[in-house]
Amino acid sequence: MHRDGDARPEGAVPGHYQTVRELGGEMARVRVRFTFASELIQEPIIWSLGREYDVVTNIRRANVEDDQGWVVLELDGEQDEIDRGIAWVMEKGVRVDPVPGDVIEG
Amino acid sequence: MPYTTSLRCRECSREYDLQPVNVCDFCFGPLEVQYDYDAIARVMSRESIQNGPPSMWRYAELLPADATDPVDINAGLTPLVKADRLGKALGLNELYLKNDCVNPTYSFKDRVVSVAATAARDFGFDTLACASTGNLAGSVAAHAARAGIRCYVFIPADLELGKVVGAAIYGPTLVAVDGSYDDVNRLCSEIADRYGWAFVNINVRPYYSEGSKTLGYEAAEQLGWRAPDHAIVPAASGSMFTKIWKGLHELHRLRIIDKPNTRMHIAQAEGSSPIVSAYEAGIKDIRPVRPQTIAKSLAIGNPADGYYALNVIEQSDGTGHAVTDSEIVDSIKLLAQTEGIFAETAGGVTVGVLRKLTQKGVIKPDDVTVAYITGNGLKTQEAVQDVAQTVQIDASMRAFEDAIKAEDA
Repeated sequence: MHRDGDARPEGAVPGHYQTVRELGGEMARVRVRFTFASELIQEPIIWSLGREYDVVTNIRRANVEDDQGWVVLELDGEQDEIDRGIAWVMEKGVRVDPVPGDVIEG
Repeated sequence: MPYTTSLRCRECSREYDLQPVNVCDFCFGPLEVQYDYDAIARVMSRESIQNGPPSMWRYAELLPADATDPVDINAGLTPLVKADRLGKALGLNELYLKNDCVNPTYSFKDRVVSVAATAARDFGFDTLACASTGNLAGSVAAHAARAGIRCYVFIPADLELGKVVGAAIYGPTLVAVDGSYDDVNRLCSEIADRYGWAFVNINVRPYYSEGSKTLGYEAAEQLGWRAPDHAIVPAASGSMFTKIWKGLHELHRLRIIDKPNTRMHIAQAEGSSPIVSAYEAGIKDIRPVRPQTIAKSLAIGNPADGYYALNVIEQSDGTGHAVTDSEIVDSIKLLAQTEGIFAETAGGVTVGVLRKLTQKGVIKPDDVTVAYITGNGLKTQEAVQDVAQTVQIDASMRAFEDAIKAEDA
């Protein structure tokens, strides 16, 4: 299932404060950056992610070049389902990073 | 925050109220603090700065936090050293070192964390947090102690004891995460989302990063109110590199210095050089890497500000270079043995790239050059422990004199 609409609950604070609690229950919203090597660019990985796992994918920004592509997107779903989905994407060879870049600093 | 006006997305230019968020809700681009420069120009001058406190807070109008009572452990206004002996070794007559080894927790991080901690307190947070492999951990813990607020510091479970102690002494809750570097990254990102804490380089990042501008302001002030011809800056996320450039241009906008013609040179370690690799390839799209270098304070594989750093290189007619681990070690020794400054590995990266720029003729002998030394060598002693060679003697004058004769020979 791929949905382009914005699933944000009314009144949620922008940025990093769309917490699990605001979404209720075990639901979570995770923002990630997928980086695809050239051999993966032609595979419909985001489509498959939404089909294989109960996760709503919402693309916000992307750039695809000859030898690499990246997509910044939001994943909505149960936390465990998102974790399983991300693990599957990583198994496919996609690099998964936090949206703002690395957060662990020297 | 009398002179800050809003947050603006660096990608889509959407504006937000000043709040603890770092990412545009629409396109997830990074947010940057905006200022009322006309109002600042009416109150800020060379004289007002020089009459200010002897710390980075002398530039308070250009920092996004309430400076009436900052969380301040006296970061900044570190020495700008005229490096004649290192300059002579490299063939440079106008070389200056910005020595940020002497900050209160021995790295430039005190600048960014002082702003982040003050902003966090302004926003009403009761907990300061970060994920770090060293310098940032100590600085965040120290500022939280100074502010009297709770502190959570996330570290990799295999972090060296010396670095753990450097943060633990200030009394934070240290969380040692058993997992890969990527695991720690992802976990901390999710914790920042879920808990209402001030994560200095996540939700408070737009405020935090502005602290690095003071490295540009101070160099200009200490050079007698002028921008250098060249700046050599070590880079992990690339943030400090972009903020030094921004700081110089802000001073020009306020008519405090002439238009900067500074060529900005970025310095990375070969095992973690995604920004330099993109520069060399002539592209603006950063290819993330898995860092592998002794310069652990620069080991960021997916730099948040890499794209913006590449823009600064382009705008300033700058360059980017990377050095090997052995070049880093040699450069740490050269700096220590010519100028008496013991820098951590990032300082070795800076001096190593300075050498390259001089050898290539990019920097001319009389160009005014500022090299940024951002952390103290006591933090990374293991990188240069082979220097610990002693002359062993018995406790007698004869043994001593025999030994020094042998040394002299």
